[in-house]
Amino acid sequence: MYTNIKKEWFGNIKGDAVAGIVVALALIPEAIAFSIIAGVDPKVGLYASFCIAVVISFFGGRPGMISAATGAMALLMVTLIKEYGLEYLLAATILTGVIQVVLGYFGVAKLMSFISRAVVVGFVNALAVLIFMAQLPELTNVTWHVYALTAAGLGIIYLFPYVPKIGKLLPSPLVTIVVLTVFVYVTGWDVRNIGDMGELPSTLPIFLLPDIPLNFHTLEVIFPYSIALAIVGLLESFMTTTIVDELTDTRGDKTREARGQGIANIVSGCLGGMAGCAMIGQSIINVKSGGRGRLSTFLAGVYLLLMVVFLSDILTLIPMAALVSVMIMVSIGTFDWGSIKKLRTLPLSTNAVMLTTVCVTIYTHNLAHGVVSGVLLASLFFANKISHFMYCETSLSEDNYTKTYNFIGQVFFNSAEKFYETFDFKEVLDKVIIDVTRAHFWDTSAVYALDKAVIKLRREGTDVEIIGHNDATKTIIDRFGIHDKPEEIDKVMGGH
Amino acid sequence: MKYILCCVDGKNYSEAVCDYAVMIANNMKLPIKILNVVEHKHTSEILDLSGNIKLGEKDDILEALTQEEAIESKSSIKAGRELLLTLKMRASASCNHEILTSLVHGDIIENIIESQDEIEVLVIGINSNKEQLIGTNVKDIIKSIHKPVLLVNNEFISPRKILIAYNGSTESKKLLTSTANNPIFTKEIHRDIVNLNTNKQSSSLLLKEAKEIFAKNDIMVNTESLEGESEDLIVEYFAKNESDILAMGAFGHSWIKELVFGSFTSKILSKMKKPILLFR
Repeated sequence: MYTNIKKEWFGNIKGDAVAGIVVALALIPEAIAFSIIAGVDPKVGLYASFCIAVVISFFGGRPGMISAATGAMALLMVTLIKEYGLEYLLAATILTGVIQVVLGYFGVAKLMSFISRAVVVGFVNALAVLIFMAQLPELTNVTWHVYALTAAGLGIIYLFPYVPKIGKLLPSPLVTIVVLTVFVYVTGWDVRNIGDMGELPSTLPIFLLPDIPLNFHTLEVIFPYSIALAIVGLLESFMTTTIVDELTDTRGDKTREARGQGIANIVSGCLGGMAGCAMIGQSIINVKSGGRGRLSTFLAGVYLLLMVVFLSDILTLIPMAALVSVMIMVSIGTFDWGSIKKLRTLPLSTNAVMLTTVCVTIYTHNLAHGVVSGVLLASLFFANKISHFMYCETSLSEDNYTKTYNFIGQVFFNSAEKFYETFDFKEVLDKVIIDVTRAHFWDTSAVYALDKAVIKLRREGTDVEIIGHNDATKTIIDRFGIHDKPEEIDKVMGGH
Repeated sequence: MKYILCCVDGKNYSEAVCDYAVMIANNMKLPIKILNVVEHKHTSEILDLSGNIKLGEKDDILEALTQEEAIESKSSIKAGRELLLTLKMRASASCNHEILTSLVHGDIIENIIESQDEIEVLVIGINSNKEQLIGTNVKDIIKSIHKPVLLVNNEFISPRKILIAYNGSTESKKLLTSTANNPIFTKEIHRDIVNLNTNKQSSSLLLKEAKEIFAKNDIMVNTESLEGESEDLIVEYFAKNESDILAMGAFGHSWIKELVFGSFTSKILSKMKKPILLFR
């Protein structure tokens, strides 16, 4: 235990210390940009980023992952802030944290197994698109100067690393911000800068409970927002955990991460910050820069606050175009490019799930909606695939009066109709034997289909005998024993 | 199946570790298992602080890291196989029992804990050249397994005399009884038991008790009471008496106490130039 703590914190001091700086530089634009989109002062996002990064470094379950104020969360708060104001946002943030702690306690991380790979990819791509789209207001109805600055910014970000020697040592987003700020300052171009967007932090955050009436109406207002924030926050955090797990060949603890995210949000809300979660783009930047331990997340938060508090006068001069180009980079880096390359080779149903997740998210600006749609669609496709695993052998007795239907496979809501239609009700028979020993009835739809068929046959004057009914319906019970022996599985699956 | 686990890394006295393990295996009539762990402690050589991420960056980083680590793992696997083969040959010259070898991935501590129940005695090499301090890795291994651990910090010499440090606590009495019943070394070897104590009377009582425990199993022991508390007394007695192995209980205290006062065990370990057998 003690050794683990030491390893997670101080196992990679040099790498973490340097990566922390690089990450802090990528956190500031996101915190500022999305505070503006959410409709609050940049200081709300910046305080949040500091609090969340520092708190999660202690309580999170995935060393090396970066959490702070994020776009995905900010987009969910827009109407709350517009209609009720900042204090309600802070209250909602605290409630979000509480919900996440509770969900974490109940082992919500296990539910991640219902989210298929296609939905994960869809989530990541939708997130990338959302981050990009969030930059568009800064790029519409503006003079050509802004386009020129943004293009120059992107140029520096992607080309500066090719400069020999210093290219790989200086973070190119920093170079971009410095160069564009100096350029605008010298030329006196009239473009929007951070100072125009609202107040920046000038002090360290202070503890303050939100100033809201503590009554049922308040809860009624903030609860729906908090639920959405809690779910999206956990989803993005879990998915980022998976990505960092993969990159570092280690395993994070998602249950602990859920609790950590909750605590981080509670602290953030109490210190005047908005809700946040793990960040895919910034976590990738962290790993790329050599960050592996908890220290890098902690230092990213600390550096961020130091830079913001002590350099706030300079920060106000940074043109928005510089932040836009950094955020476009984050958006591009978040995008799962491999998934687009694989589109042609993957089955249509997988692509449909992925694209549905993306489209629903972009349409609703809510990643939770996208994920729910994706999971639903994926489940339907799966049910459909499984329903093919049912067939029937029929045999007629020598006298042609008795027919045996021998069903094998899975009978459930999706295949119940097909099960019913297997029967030939036109045929005139004395007796029908329905052998379902090797069939499997998963739900009441299946039982109902069997009953329906039996009644219809009886009305036609046919005697009906059912074999193996008890075995077949065992699975209707919701709670299963664990079938981990081959012969048990064989029994349940009806002998495929 | 019970066996003597012999952990080797090819760096810290691996051959001596193997020799001691063979000796113990012959004494206890148990098979020996030589374990080499391919540890994945790779830290990337790539220094890239450009802080930008382009399209498909995640896949690129993953590929780069995978390639880097694959090369390292392949070479450690090769080295591990060669080491195990050499040691198996070496062991088979004098070992009367089965010799198993095992090359596994992962963390050495995890691997040891996993097979905790099968291990009878663990033999491991420690680096005594560097600062005379044991690494946290070895400390963690000792703390995580409740079996005797022989720390090898020098070349193999066939031991003639062992020195047992005994403090008389319930724990150490239990340990003493179980080793007396199932001795790790031959009965013929010369055993000295010392007790560090400020109270002469209770000391002699403890030692008498210890002597009886061994006597029950027909093992002769010499006893000596050392007045004081300093670990130096044991180290000095060990040198003066020309002992070959020091046996003692280890890390009995909570980590908080250890943090404040420093561990008695660690202090002794850092001063010893001959193998130490630790019980926990």
